[in-house]
Amino acid sequence: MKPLAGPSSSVAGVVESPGKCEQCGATTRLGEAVCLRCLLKEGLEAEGEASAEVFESVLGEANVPDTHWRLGNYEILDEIGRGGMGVIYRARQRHSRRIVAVKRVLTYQADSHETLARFRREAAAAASLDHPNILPIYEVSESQDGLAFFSMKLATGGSLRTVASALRGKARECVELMAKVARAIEYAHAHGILHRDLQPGNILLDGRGEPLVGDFGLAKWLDEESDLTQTLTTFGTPGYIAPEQAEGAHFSPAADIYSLGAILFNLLAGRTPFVGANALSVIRQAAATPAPKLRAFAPSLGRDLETIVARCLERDPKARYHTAGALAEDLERWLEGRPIIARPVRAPSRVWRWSRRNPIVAGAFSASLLLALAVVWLLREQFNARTTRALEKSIALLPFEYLSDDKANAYLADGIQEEILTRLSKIADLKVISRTSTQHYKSSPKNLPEIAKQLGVAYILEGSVQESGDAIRVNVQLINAQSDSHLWAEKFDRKLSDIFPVETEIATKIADTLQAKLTGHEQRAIAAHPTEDPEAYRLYLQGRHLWGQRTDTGLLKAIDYFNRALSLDPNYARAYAGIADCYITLPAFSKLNPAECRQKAKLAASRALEIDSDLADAHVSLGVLLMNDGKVAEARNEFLRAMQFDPNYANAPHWYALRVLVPLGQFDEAIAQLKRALELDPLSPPFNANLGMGYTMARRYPEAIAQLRKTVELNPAFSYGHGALGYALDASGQFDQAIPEMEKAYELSRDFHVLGLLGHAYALRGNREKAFQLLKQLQDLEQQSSDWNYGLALIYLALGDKNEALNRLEESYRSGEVGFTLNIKVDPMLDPLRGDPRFENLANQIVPPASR
Amino acid sequence: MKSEAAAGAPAEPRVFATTRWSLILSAAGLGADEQKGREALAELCRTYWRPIFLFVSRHGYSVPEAQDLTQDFFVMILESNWLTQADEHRGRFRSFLLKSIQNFLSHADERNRAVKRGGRIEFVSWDEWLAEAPSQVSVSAGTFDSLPPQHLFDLRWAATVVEHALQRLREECEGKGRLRLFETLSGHLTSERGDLSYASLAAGLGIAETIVKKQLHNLRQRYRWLLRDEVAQTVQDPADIDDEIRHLCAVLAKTD
Repeated sequence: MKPLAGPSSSVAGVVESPGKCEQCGATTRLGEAVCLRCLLKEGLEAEGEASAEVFESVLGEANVPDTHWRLGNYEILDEIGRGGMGVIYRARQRHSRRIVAVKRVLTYQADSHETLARFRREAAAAASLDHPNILPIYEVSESQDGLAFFSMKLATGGSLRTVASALRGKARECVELMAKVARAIEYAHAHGILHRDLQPGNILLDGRGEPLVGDFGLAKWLDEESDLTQTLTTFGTPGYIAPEQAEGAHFSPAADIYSLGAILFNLLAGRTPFVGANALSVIRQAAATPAPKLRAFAPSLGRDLETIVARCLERDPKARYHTAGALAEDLERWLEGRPIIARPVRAPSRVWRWSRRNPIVAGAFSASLLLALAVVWLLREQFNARTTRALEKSIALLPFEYLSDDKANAYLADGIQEEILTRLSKIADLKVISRTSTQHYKSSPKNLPEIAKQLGVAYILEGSVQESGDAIRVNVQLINAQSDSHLWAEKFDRKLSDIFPVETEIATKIADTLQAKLTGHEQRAIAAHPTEDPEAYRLYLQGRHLWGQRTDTGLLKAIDYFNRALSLDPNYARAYAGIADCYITLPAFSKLNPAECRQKAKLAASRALEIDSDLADAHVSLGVLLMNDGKVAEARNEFLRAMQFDPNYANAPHWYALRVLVPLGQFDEAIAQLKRALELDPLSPPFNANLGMGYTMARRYPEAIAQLRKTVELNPAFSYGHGALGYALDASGQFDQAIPEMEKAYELSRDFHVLGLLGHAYALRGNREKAFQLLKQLQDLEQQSSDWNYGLALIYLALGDKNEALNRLEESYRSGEVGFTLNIKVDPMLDPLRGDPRFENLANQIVPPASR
Repeated sequence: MKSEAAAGAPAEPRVFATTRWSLILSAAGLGADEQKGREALAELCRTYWRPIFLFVSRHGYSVPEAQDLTQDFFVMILESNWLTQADEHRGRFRSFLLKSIQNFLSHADERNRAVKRGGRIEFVSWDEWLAEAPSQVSVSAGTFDSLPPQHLFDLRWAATVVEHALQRLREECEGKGRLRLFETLSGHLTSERGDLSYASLAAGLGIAETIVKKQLHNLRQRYRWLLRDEVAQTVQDPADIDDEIRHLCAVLAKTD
């Protein structure tokens, strides 16, 4: 659906209508189908209404229970309540017959990826905690239709909110409860989890009245990968929320301690320390004024208890108890009648301005609506122990230096480094960074720890290669990047014909040092010799070098080198794989016939696999080609095998995502795979851009735009990055911002693909003349190469000529362009055509409905 | 039979239920009730933000500007003594809100908006609001540009009322484990009897046609109740409900 008048109307959800209602003739619809006027008039019908009881009773008569009423191993019994994000049910676990509570995301909210991801985080965080006063999570799972849910202990005693009035006047019981809660929070903090939304409703009680802290829904889990942590939507419940939290200060255990104090205050005094008309006013007061004294509301309580509570409620986080454990101890001392540690605050408290900036400016809505205080927050610099554990078996190989004078043979250094890399890459137990991310670094840089952090690795291999006559000297050293200390260094003097065992030995030694476990298969794969002919090897390396440069002459020359290598060694599988790669890439960079190129690529890839069925790159090539032919299941297989044979081969997850998962609409997995590729090749501009593209196709525009802005910032001269950003902005209706990006992309590369995008954006913004100009420009180009027809289709579509757009898309398919057309079923730009039988027919030809 | 009896049963009397708008009006400026009033007001604002946003956008502001203004407007409503300043005959929430935003916008340029976008904390999470309740209204081409802003406001208001009622209906069905039923039948709430293929609906659900008819009838009736309840929340006097619905229908008629 294309927005009518630009982004603002689409944000408010107003788009163009398909036609008149058959009954009343109105043209305004809710969504695309239902007539708004008819629905509204229904409210005037005299026929009567149904009350809730009547409605539910009749509803229950229909024997069409929801199939997902059984969630995983659980039979849903009834609904207990609704939380901020999800519904909580009482359920029975199938095998054990145990009655539990099950919480899941409400289906109509399931579209929100943030909601789902937040939900999963909640579950994962809580499930790792094991403490008598923390609500145990039993199982985290997903139902058949992909809805996440988790099961937990059913707390039958209500919550502190429901029992608060019954506890009034029973100070000892309140303190006992809170001491246990504080101990539980201490435990959670020790495990790196903050609760951040402690309030009476979250402290449940079991059948015996034991407190169980639950709903770690806003628990912050310091996740090195979490891009959700960029926008932190929090909010806790006013009255219990620490004042510094609202200002976006560093979240710390102190915030939870404040909340504990506020809860205790509430239990003892019958009201929260601060009350106000709305959340804003409460927080403002909490920030600006000292907390009231407990005994102003409950005079019979002793001074000690007042002091303990006051210390929790200090505005300065550093003035509170340093740990939840310290709070628990003081509470326990009070229970035992011993003197407490906390000292009363001298009155008057110093006026402490904890914020120099203007305090909260805008208003807030009542928190009972669970509206979010959105704070933009970047957590890049925070790592914790969990992160470092994962890094131990990770390595990046920096470019090897070529030390001889004759620089014409410098490709040898690259080649040998790549061979070592290829071997290491096959080890599943290691994380090995791809060449594209390391290749622009110097061979012996000064700032190793910094580089290692950028790449996400613990170890670095540096090396150099020297030739003299027949002999080759290879020097390598393995470095622990974080401590910048050398673990070992080795030197090898060999002839080129004997170089493979050297590469194997280096790889094996690295694997040993990093304590990576190797399977038998991996050991054999590492030891394999790609070819016995040194000359063929040299030719191969030169071919690879040229392929990496991606120019049309370069690619054709590369093919030539590979062929020459093959004439020397006809069983050189990798050379065939290299040819396949070249032919796959050529259409985008030249005017060769795409269909012919694909044919040749397929032949070469198949041949490669005949000789060596383990070649990951050949599998990937074949996968791409099969998908182009619409053979979905076979393509998928090729990719899966590639990832199996070479777990660190970044291209595999990358192409799998772009060429299979995205076109099929399997976005969650696609994005996971794109992230995996990025993990292995973090600095790769195309990988970064394609993650953004993945988000765009998944219509996760805010994430797409954030990722692409990052890409463009890191690689300002990368044309595709700007183009992809423009694409995302266009798809989300922000044409004013899209156009400059697309112009920039075109300026950088003069790539005709961008013209199609530009025409699309201009047309939708309303500059039809400019769009027509671009149309003509594109037509005049008489390009017959990849995606040219797609570009034309886009412009026609944006100008409103659906028929011509369809013509172009069909032509695109007929002429063998595949590129963007593969995304026909998911591409947001093609939405206006959806539903048209001709379009649907074409779509099913390009991406045949899968028979999984 | 039970169904007939149920259909003929009187709807819940509305007189005793305090609607949000009447609560807000009566509570303005009155101590303890003020809190309830403010909460009710916030709840209403949260439901009806889209008409405001659309109205502001229609005046030519860019998305970020429109978001800022909308946010400022809501802040103003909730923070200030907006309610107590209103005159006695406050009419309906919709018209009052419209007057207020008109007034607000006319002073927008004069107002000192010293705080730049980047530096402040946002109290409205647009992504979350948009994600929580995705909404789309399709109008005939050119409507957005040709309709006067206040009609556009009413149109979007009408859509919100209906959407909210449908959403509640959906939740009620889901709560009883009948989401599938809702999803299958909800598109036919207004269909003429003759047009419906009960047979195919029945086949899809795996139940008899007679049951389909009964369930659809039930859903319709409940939907009506919910729709009228939605409208009721925004008027003072239950007698105004019909009139308000008619007004909104009339606005929709103008868009064709």
